[in-house]
Amino acid sequence: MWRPIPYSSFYTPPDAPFPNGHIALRPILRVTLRNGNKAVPCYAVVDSGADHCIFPLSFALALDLNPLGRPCGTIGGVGNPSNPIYFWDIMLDLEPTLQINAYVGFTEGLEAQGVGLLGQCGFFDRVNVRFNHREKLFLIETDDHTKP
Amino acid sequence: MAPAVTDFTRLLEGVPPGAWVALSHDEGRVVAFAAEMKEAIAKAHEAGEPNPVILRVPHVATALAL
Repeated sequence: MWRPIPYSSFYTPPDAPFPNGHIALRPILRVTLRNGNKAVPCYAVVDSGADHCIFPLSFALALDLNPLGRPCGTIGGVGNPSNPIYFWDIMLDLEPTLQINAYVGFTEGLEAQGVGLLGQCGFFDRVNVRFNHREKLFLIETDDHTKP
Repeated sequence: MAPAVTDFTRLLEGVPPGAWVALSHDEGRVVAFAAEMKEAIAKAHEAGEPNPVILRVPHVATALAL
């Protein structure tokens, strides 16, 4: 079944290249991160350019996941080619019908944004996604495979 | 008919830049905000929202390329 989800809009104020400001439409999903009985309801951008599902490091701490002594990797993006990142197996609960167990990264590099990214490993390799920016919605296919 | 676009700009009006925000579980209103995520969650619990949705208002509202 294809589930339609509206884009979310964010206004960015005027600056030199956009003197009238700009309204950004972003494909954002509500997701609850679960580790045992700990849960963090939050938001994540559906980001086909991200290799992994990643979230701010403070979300890991709220899930009782301790980075001390945890193997540390690196992840790059615009503005910083090498952020430390820590991975754990957790559940991504995309209400109402989709639960995904995935190996999810947590990094200080997303603290400023305060949202996660749903990337290729753990999200795009589990569900089908269609973007329809002109209609201001995107669609996620859950298991019964009805055509959109 | 497509569902309406979620307008975060309106929802987060009045929240200072850089603040962590706790939304009501139905995502309809800001329950609390604070400089630290933990503090925003604690304030939301005090306000009677046991399961707030967490996000952050950026220090500077800019275009994103994540």
